Amino acid sequence: MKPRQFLIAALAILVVVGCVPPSARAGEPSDGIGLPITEHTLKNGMRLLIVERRESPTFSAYLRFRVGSVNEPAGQTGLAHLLEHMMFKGTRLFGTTDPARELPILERLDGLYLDLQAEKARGQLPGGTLDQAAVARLERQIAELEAEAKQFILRNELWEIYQRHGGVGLNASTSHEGTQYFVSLPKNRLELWALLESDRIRDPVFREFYTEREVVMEERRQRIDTSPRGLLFEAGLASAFFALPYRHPVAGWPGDLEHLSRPQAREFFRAYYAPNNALAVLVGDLDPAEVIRTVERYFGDIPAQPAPTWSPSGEPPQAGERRVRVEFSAEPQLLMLYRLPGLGHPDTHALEVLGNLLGDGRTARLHKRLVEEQRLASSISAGPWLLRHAGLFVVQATPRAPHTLEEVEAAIEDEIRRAQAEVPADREMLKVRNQLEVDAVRSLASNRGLASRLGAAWALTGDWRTAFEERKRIQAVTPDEVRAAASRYLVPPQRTVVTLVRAAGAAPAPRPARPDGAARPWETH
Amino acid sequence: MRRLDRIRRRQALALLGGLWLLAGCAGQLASAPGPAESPGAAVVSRMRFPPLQVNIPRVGREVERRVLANGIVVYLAEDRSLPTIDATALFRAGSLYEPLDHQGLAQLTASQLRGGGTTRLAVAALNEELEVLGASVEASASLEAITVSMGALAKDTDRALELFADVIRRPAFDPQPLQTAKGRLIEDLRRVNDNPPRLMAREFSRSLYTETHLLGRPLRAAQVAQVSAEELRDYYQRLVRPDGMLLAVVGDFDRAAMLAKLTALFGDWAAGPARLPALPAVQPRDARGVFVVARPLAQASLAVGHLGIDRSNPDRYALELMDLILGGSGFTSRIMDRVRTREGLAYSVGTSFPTNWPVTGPFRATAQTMNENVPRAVAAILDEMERIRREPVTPEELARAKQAIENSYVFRFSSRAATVVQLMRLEFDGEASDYYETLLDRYRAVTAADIQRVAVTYLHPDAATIVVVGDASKFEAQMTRFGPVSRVPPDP
Repeated sequence: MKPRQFLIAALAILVVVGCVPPSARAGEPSDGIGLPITEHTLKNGMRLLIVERRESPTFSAYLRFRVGSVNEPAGQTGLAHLLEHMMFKGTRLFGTTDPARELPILERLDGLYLDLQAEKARGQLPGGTLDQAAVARLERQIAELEAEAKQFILRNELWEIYQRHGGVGLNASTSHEGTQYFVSLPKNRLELWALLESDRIRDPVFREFYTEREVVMEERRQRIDTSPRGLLFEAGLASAFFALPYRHPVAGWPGDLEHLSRPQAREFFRAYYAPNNALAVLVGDLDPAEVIRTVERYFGDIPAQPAPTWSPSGEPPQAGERRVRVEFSAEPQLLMLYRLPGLGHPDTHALEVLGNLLGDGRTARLHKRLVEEQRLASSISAGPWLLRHAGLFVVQATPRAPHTLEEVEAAIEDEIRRAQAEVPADREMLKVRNQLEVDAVRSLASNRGLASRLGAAWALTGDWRTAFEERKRIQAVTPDEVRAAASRYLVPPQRTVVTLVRAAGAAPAPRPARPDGAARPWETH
Repeated sequence: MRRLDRIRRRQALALLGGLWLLAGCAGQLASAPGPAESPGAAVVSRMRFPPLQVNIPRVGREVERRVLANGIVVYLAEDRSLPTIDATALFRAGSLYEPLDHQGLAQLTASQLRGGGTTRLAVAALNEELEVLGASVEASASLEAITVSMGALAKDTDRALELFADVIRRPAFDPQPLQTAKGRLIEDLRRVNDNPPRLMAREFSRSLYTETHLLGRPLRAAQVAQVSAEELRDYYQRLVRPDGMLLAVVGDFDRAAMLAKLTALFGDWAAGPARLPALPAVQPRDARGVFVVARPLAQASLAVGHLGIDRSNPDRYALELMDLILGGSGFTSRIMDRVRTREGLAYSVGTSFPTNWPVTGPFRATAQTMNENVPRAVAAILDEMERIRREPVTPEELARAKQAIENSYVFRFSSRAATVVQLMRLEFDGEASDYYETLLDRYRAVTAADIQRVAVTYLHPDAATIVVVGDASKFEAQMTRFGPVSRVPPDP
């Protein structure tokens, strides 16, 4: 549904970037989708889904690893995302003119960077002093070696090859629970895709690591440190979760980012980028038998690895409302986060309906009341954001001057109380059912959209069919279940309220607009 | 993976050979350049790709073009792949047609076509009906056009088309929703300062075009506050008209039956005398200078650029290739490669050189970088502009840019609905109807000498306007080498 897509977009980050019996169900039209779907599992555990959609002689590929920022070791936030960037830096085959001479230099650089970090850490110990000369010497050695490594590097060769062969939409994204790589190609480039993607998960070389770390820090500054909404969400997640790693930004904390090292990235890669932790969805003008043959040929001999385990600590019960105030040089914003259960919990379907009624579209209750009738806000959105081990019901509002955050919050609470007191009207329920129907049809209109949708459902729930079956469950929700969900979850003790306000003493706000548009004497009209 | 193993063995042999050769010229070891290619490039070059048939849809074949008696041009195409229908209407009524002292009319007219209800249905009822159907009707304004689009399930075609026609033909311009829309827009303008790239874009346009031109004058809250429903109605009546209206309809229907429906809905819309204002000409000017917007932020947002071309310029195809190589094609372009990949200065960096504007458009390179790195990033961008003027691009760069266009061409036509809108857009832009059939040849004809010639003619690093939004104390003093530095005062 729309609000969730919006939230996922707001929280994810882009690059810009055993023996299972083989093959089943080839060519059989599958329920809810009306297109032939073929599922296949390689011996090394890699899973493959092929959807034949022959509208144009092209295909979209979506390759996903079940790893995200939740898997990062303590002190290494931002690593999953930085690793995603590194996956574009080449391999032994690509991105280098001479791997045999280049790779030893990279190894030596790793050692020097560790020495430099240790040297700097010594300076930060109580009573410690920074050995300026040692630092300068290490920095000089690093610069020399990096210059030496550079002569072998063919920068951005992966992008170049894909572009030259007609690839579009080449990118990757990292979220809390997934890392995905996508590209769309003319259908005759299937083998090229298989070569480039299998090669980079078999044998990546993380060259230009420390330069890319700078790029990722700039990305963080752009998305979070200079963005009121970025800061609002970062503070919100860090406060709504005490124990679950959803509290960490996918972009990483600045203090962690500056210490991430290439050996850490290699370790993380080894643990999580195994074929048995990967799935590929290909949608387009494809022959499933040929796809299976090609994927087997290129990916089949990548060895499986012990499945990574992650047992999340449970989130302790929330003992009362949490309030966070972010001071920043910008106009005010409001974010309210209510604790929810995670994906798969039976109440999530009613919460989806509730999100639609409150926050989706022009007839949504919050929009009608706050934006149109009372004109307290210039925009408002609401809906559930569901992860594997917990979720949040997210309400975000932009107040309209001169109305205050308090007025906006009070009006939201009032609408929530109404949702707890009255069951939704039949017409509202009909609206949700119809919109889901349309959504399901429209999701089939693009190769890339369909690949992402199936891939995400497959990775998060273990079954790609949930991409379509969820719809039926949501359509079966009763009005009373919606009211019950509002009463159970949208309660003050279970929420985190984040406000962003202009810092006292910061640059003054621009003059408020005059709603009456009174002419200024010094202007002529 | 026998195949890859073979590749590796060959690679290993090649490497041994390489070492042996190098041993013969010891002393140059550290600086000797390796082979120019990666081992993988050879693997890719051995791959064979069966030819791909790209079907460029054509008017008169997959797409039907009809003109109704009142001048409405209709593009129709059946597409039975999904049970849906999509329609798009274009009117020559975008913001370039606003009087200079009445900015915001195009945007608010578009907003109220849909958001102000119709004379048959108040906006609340319109919203309700569309959302219960899961259908959408939306209107928006761009530089040249007001666009109204509709999407619905095929089973709701008749009602959705009726509502679409009502929104176009019978807008009510109800003052209540207009008041809401104006208030939201004013709030949005108050918040431009909170969005550094937006603030940077606004000040860049203002520096380049000045406030004497629509493209340079920022929309202001006081201006928005004065717009009345009567003004919108007048703008609508002058510019949103059947003569000159282009309409594309694609989906699950029978062409003849659809044409009859459209004739019934739009055929009796009478055209009055056309009164299309002339487009405001852009005065060429040399605006060298650095304009600093001081904001206490952890990262600066910067733009470097100058005036470009309009779409009547025959050099546009060479310029598009030049821009792809310079900064317009992401990672494989020079400015991205240098500023991001090599120097690690920015996450977002690139150029845009629009060649299809009806009036002189801008050339602009933008980047977001740490305040301290602003002078370095600006210098790198200017240097790359200088270099592409000074030296011809390499044959590899040119071939790569052409191959990228050629091999991805199929994606321009991968959705039937988008293709039909593109064909309609050709007519709106005054392009020949075989534009897409001849476009590749136009790119193929461009030489490295052409690229250098257009770079020299249309890139002006010496006369660049530079706008930086950021913590001025960290870079301002070093900016004088790029031109006279001035501070942009806080919001007008």
